[in-house]
Amino acid sequence: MNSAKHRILVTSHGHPDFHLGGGELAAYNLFKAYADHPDVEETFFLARHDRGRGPTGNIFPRRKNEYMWEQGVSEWLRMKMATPIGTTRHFAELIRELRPTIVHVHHYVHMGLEYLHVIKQIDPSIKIIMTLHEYIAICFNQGQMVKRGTNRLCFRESPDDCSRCFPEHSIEDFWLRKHRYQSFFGLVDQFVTPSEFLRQRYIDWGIAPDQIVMIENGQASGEMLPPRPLAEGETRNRFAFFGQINPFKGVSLLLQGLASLKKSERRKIVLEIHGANLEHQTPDFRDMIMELRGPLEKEGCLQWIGPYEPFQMAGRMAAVDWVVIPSIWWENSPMVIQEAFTLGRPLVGSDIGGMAEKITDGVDGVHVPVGNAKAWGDTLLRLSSCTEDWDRLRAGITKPISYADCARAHLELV
Amino acid sequence: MFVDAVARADGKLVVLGWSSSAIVNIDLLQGTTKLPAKLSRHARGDVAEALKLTSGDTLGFCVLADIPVSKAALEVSVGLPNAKPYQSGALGEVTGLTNLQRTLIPELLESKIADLKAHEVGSVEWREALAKLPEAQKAPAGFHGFVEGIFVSPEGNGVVFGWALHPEGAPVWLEDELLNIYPIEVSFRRERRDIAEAFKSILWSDMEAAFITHLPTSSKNPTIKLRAATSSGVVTLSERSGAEMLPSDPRGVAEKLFAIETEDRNFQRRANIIDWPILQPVIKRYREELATIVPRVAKFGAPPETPAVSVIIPLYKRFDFMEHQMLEFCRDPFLRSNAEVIYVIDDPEIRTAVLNEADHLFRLYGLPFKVISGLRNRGFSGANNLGADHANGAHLLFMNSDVIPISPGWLEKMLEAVEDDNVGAVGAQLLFPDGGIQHIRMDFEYLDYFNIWSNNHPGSGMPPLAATAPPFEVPAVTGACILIPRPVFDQIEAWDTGYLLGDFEDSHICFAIRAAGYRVMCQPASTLTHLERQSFTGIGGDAFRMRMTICNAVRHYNIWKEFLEPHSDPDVADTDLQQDTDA
Repeated sequence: MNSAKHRILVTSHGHPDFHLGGGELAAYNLFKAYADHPDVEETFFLARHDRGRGPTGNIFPRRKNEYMWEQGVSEWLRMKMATPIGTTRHFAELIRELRPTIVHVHHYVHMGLEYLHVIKQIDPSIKIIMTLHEYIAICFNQGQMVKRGTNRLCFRESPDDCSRCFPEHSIEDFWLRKHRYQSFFGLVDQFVTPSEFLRQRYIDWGIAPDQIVMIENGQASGEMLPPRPLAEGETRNRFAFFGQINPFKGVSLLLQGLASLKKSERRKIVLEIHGANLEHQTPDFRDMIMELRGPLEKEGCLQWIGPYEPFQMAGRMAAVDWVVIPSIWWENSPMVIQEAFTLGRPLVGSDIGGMAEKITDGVDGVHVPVGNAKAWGDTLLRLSSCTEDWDRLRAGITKPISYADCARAHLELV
Repeated sequence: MFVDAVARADGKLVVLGWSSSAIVNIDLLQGTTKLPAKLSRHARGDVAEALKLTSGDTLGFCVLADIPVSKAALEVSVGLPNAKPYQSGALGEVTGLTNLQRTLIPELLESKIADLKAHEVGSVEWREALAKLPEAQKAPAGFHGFVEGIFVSPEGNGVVFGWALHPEGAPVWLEDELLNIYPIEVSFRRERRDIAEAFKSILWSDMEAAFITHLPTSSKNPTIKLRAATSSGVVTLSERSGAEMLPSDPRGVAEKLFAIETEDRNFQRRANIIDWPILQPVIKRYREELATIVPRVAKFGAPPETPAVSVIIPLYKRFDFMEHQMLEFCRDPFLRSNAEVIYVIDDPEIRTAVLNEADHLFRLYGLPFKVISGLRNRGFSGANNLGADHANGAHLLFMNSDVIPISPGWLEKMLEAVEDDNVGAVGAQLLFPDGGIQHIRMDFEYLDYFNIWSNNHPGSGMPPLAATAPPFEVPAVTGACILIPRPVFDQIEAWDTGYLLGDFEDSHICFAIRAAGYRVMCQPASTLTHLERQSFTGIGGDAFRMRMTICNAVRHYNIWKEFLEPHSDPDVADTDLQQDTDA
């Protein structure tokens, strides 16, 4: 162990004050947890921010040790910074000023890859840890590794595969894209992924296995919630979806699954949608969701509750039995899984990727064949008919690691 | 009947006249002696009109005989079938015949045409023979032609193009206002289906009617006549005054010239006699003008003072590859301490943007480099030479901007391969983005369809050679990545700038290096990616590019015949592609 204490800068693509995404929260929580570690002298947080006036490149304080960076990306294919002086001058000044010994990079989207180089140029002894939250370096389709347009699952990248999804970009463009990512990733000392599945995908892509470890995102400490009290004759029939509503998250499968059941069957089920950002989706997608939603809400088996703040999560989970995660993309380590486990709620999830990894079928949750609406309907119906399964699966939950555990695991790497 | 003239002409006695009947027999008498003579008939529209006959096609007659020995008076005897001959009485001779009268007697001109053919077209004798032929107003059947256009080059020469239909071997030529003569035989000829169709009743309508003729000298505003010597006399088939002035830059000239239609498979025949005589002086003068331009040099940081290598990279159209190269350069310790990097902007359109990008790249990556702006487009060779002019390295590494190293160490390995004094150039193993071979060596193949020798990259698409494979000798390597020791480069006097825009410069320089006694090697331990397809997005349409390639292939062949034929060079072992599937 170094005698000198660590000075850690955590960078994120957004500040949770403004963006409550999983990656932003994970970064921020880790920034807080690092500060409490005895080997750490000081911690800093830098989040990309958009004040609506374009990427000026400026950096400004948010509160003590927290900074905002008005940077952007000018070319998404190659993840190029929008404002060079924002990186070569303002970010460089920040590094010189803060003198971090570790920069923990939680993202490069909206900032460009170049800042990694600036860190090493100023002081090659600064260690760069990078947490990979999705497949963005591998896949230009928003890092989802599903085929553009059809949303079919994708198993590998190659210039030929990728330019079939994006014919407007040539094979050479995709070679250049990967080359650029790998050049910058070459500056990273240690990669971290919150799931083994994602780790393996990045190893297939070219990161050396000994350079990339799996560390699960930390969770708030605390006790499990008690089971939802059941009225006489009531079953474990309340399911809830938490998260973004977009084409990859599979909410439509839940709605179609319910619609495929008989009315009498539906009466036994209550599904709550705690979803955000539907308003930012394409009109076609919004119309499709609204069409499915209307009749089910009228019948009463669907409750459309809407977005939530982190502090509301426990209260909302207390009122349901199961948490569902029907994503049609691989996912990484969805925050909602760890939150549900922390609060003592078994999960029902798609049988692929990070969901299949984090939810053990028959132990702490149930797998559903990915993309299969009928199977979702049948599974909800089956699980809502009894209480024993639920009791057993709840007992099977392993408590996720805490923020402090997570910070400790990271510091053991350096 | 009427006798118009009795005259001696060209060693013959000629009697010209007309008769109201075409079936009369006409004899030539001297006293009672009938002279051996030949009667021919020709049209006399004027007679037919005066006598109100429907056709004058055969009313005219001509009696042709050798000059009689006797001085006795001549008369003609005219006989109709079953009638007593009528005798004209003594005829008075006139001196000489008018040109119009001469054109009525084809036999009279045949010997003169034969005389004309016996001399070199345009020579003094030829001109004298020509002067003896009458000028005809109208071409006889089977002679047609049209001058479709004239291009004049600022260098003082030009081309005429059009078509001419004529019997094989007939004297046909182009004539300018200064009476310079260009026989049709020196033209490039090819078939014209449209002409063949339009004149299909003519026996030789399928001939190669189209012509393109190089005018070694031309005024700015020439008048060009397409002329032919026929049995009716000399006729002007077509005449055109004024020319289109060609631009002063090689590309502009080539675009104009190449638009004169010629099938790709015939283009090689044409290139030597038409295109190169026009292009060569234009390219030469353009190059001389470029030499007078003072390039701008922008320095970013301080490179090593006495570098082992100068890495010279021309930029044309795209420059986004710079950063990809920079990412690789700056993580290569050997390159950082032993090489200077020189970018040459070969495209005035991107100069400002490149300098801006260069500033960003230097701020970000801190790798020193120079940017040379030639201010005009010089092409691959010219840009490379400009870079070499500003290079301090003991070796020169010429690199395309779309060649991206894969890992550090490649430059050091290339230098190792050139350590041997008899090695004059080293190329790298270049891969396509999909990982297959793009280039490990260049060889040459004859393309029958085009009649040209073309460059070939064997092994394309195959798995790469192992990085552990030793360097091997090759006929030539690509210019996309080639290392040449400075003294060798100076000895062969740099990249050849005589080609049109680009092509073949790399094999040319390899041949020049071999001709100077050195070997050319490929170093498979130096493996880089070549995004080749991207290089050529900037050049004109397919037809233009094809013609440009043929033109350049012709020049390349003219200079390097002995390296191209025979195809297999005994000095260079045919290296088997040792595939390493583990690579």
